[in-house]
Amino acid sequence: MLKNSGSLRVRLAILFGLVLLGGGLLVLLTTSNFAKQAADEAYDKLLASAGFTAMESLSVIEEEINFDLPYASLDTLSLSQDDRVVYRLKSENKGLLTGYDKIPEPNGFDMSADFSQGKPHFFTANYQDEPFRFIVLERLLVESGVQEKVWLQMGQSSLARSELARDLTLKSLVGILGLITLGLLFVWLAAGWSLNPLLKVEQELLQRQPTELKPLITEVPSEATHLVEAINRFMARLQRNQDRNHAFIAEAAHQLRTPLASLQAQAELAADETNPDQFRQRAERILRNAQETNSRINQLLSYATLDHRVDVLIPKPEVLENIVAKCLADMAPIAITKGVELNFDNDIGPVKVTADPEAIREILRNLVDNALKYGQANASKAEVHVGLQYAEDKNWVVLQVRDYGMGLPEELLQQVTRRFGRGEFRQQSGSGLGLAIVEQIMHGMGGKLELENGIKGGLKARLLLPLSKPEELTT
Amino acid sequence: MRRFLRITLCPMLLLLTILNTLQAGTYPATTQPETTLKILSSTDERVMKTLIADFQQLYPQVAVEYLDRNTVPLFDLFLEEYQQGTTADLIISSAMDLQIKLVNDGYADTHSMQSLEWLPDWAQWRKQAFGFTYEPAVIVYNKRMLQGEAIPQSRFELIEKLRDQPDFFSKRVGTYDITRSGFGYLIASQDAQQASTWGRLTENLSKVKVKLYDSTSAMLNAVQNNELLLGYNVLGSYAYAASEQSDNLGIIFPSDYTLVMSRVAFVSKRANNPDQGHNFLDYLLSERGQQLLANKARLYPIHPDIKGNVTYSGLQQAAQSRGPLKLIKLGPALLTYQDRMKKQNFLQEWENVLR
Repeated sequence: MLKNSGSLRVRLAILFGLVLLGGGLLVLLTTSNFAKQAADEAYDKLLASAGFTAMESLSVIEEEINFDLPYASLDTLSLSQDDRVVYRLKSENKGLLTGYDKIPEPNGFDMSADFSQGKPHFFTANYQDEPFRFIVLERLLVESGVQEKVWLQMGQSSLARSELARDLTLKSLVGILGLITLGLLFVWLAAGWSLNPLLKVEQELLQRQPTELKPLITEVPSEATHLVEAINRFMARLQRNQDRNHAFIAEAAHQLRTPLASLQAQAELAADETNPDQFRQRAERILRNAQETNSRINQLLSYATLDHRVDVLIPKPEVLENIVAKCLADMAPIAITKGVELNFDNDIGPVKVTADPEAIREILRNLVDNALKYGQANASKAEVHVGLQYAEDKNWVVLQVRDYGMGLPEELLQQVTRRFGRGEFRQQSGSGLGLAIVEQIMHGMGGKLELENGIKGGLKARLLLPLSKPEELTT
Repeated sequence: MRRFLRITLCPMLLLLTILNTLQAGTYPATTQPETTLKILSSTDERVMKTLIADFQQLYPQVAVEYLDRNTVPLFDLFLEEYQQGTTADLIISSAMDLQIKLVNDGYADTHSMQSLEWLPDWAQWRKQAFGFTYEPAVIVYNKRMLQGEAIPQSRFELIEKLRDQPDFFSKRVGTYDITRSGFGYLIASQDAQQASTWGRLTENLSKVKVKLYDSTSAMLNAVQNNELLLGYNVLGSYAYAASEQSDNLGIIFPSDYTLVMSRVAFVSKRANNPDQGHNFLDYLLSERGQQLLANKARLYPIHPDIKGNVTYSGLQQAAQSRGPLKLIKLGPALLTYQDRMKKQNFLQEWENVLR
C-alpha cells in the first residue's frame, strides 16, 4: 500500500467546514446583536405605549396635580409576561408625587437631548440587581394655579426582551447550522463527483493487460489532463523500452547464432583434419572468427548499455574535462596496441555541463572505439584527436572526436543518425556504430550529435552539450 | 379626623400583631428530626386545618405554625418582618393586588414549575406568585326574607331594586369596608375597572345606607341572623360553606358578570425555611391538596381535573347557565389600584359616596 497524504475529500471538507464555521460565527454574532436590537425596539414600543397612556391621565384638579393611573397602562406592560414594573411621577416643585422612590435616575444630559428633539428618553439600568429598561416622559402642565414640568418614569425588567432576543438568535442558529451541514454535504458530494474521472482512469488502468501500453483514452477535466499526459508519456517510454528490448533480443539472437554456427562447423572440420598444415589453417580461421564474434558481442552489449540509458538519463552539472580524461585514460591501452596516437586538447578548462556522466563516458568510449577501429584504414595519419571547445553559441560546449581515415559515405552520414528500426540496426552494425542511439541520448540530455567528414578526409563526431547555468552550479 | 384615626390605629395594630403572634396555631411534628414551616395567611385557620393535618400525614417531621391575619395587616406584618430579617415561609392572601405588589417589588422566591404545566398562565406570575383557588365573588341573600322576583340576579336588577325600594332595603344591605378589607378593596377596584355599573351601584348603596364589614364571616352572620337582606361581593367560597350550614343563605352569581379571584401564595425571599415553604406550595397545588380544598375547605380549587360543585370545573359549569366569569389575572396590572394617588382618589370617591 502506498503512503498517502490524506483524503482530498476530507481536506476539502475541513477547509470548507472551517470557512463555513467562521462565516457562521460571524452571522451568528451579527444576528445576536440584531436580535437584541429588534427585541429592544419591540418592547420599547410597549413601554412607550404604557407611558403615553399613563401620561394621558395627568390633570389638574383644584390647583393640585392629579394622576389617575389607568388600568390599561400597566396592563399593556403585562403583555411581556413575568416582567416586573416600576414607575414614578415627579414634579419640578413637589418632587415625588407617586410611585417608586428609589429607582435609577436617568442621565440628565441625555434626557434633555432627547426631549429637545421631542422624543421620549429610554435608558437601561439595574434596579435591585436586575436589568431594567426605562422610559422617561416629560410634560409641562400649565393650568390655573399650576405651572411646572412633570416627569413620568416607567421601567420594566428585561426578561421578555432577553428571551425574545435569545429566541431569535436560536432560530437563526438553527438556520446557520443547517447551512453548514448542507455546505459540508455539498462539498462531500462535489468532491466525489469531481474525483470521479480519476477513478475512471484507475479503472481503465486496472482493466488493461500487462503488455498494453497504449495512451489512456478516458476523458478527464482540464485539471487532471497533466496527470494523464504524464501517465501517457510514462507509458510511451515503457512502450519504447519494450520495443527496443524486443528488437535487441531478436538482433542479438541473429547476430550470435550465425557466427556461432559457423564456428561450430569449422571446429568440426578442424577436428576431422589430419594434415597438420591444414589443421593450423583451420585453427587460425576459427581464431579470426572467434575474434570477430567477440567484437560483435562487445558491440551488442555496449549498444545495450547505451540503449538502456536513454530512458534513465539523470542530467546534472558535471565537470566535462574529468569525465573525458578518465575515459581516455581507459582507452589509451587499446590505442597503444593498435599503434594509434590518442590526443586530447582542452581549450575551455574545467567547465560544467549538464549531462549524465555515465552516458557521456559510454558515448565517448563508443566514438573513440569506432575511430580506432574504422578510422585507421587508409588514414593520412594514425591519430585519434579528442577536443573540447566552445561552440559558436557560447552557451554550448563541443566535444569532438576526429580521425583521419576515409570518413563515411554521404548517404550513410544521413542514415546513421536516423531513428533506427530492425533493418537499419543491421546495416549500422556493419559500420560498428550505434550512432542513432547516441543521437537519442544526446537529445535526452538536451544536447546534439553532429557527424561530418573532414575536408582532408577523416570523420568528425561532435557532441554539443549545454553549459550549466549559474543557478544550477549552486545546487 | 381620618388622619387622627390612622395615627392612633398604628400602635394598636402593633399590639394586635404581637397578641396574634402568640395566638398562632401550632401543629407539632410527630417524628424527628423536626423542622418548622411558618405560614402567614389571610385564609381562616379553621378552613386550612384539614389541609395542614393532611400535609403532616405526608411530612410528619414538619411542624406547622399557622398565623391567620386579615389581608391588610398581613401585608404590613410581612413588610415589617422582612425589614427585620426573616419572615414566614409561605405567604397566602386573597388580596391579589397586595400579593402582586410584594412579588413585583422583589420579596418573593422563585418556585420550580415542575409538574405545574396544567396551571393556566393567568394563575401564576414570574414563577413566584401562584393562584391556587378559583373563587367567585357573589351576592348572598336571606332566603327567608327575599324570595322569587325579589332576588336580584344581576347588578342591574340590584341597582333597580335598591332604587325602587330604598326604605325596604335601608340599612339591610352589606358590603366590605374597602378602607379596611384588602379583599374588599380588590374586588371593588375590579368592579370599578370592569363595569360602568359601579358608579350607580355605589350611589344606590349609599341611598339605602349600606352597612360596611371588614370580614366576610361577619357579613355572612348578619345575613343569616336576618340583620341583612343581602350582601354584595361576598367571597363565594365562604358563602358556599356557610350556606351548607344554614337554610337561610342563598347565593347568586351575578348574571351580568361574576368576578373570579384566586388566593395567591408565594414563598418569601427571606424565609426561615424556604424548602418547606415550596413544599407546602407544591402540596397546595397537588391533586391531593386540591381535592381536599374542594371537599373539606370548600375553597374552589383551581385544578381543572378536580370534580365537584366547589371546583374550577363546577364553577365553569354553573357559569354556563348564568353569565360570563371575569377572572382577575395575576400580573402587574393589579398594581394600578395600589398606586398611592390612584388609591387615594378611589377611596376618596368611595367615601364621598358611601359616608
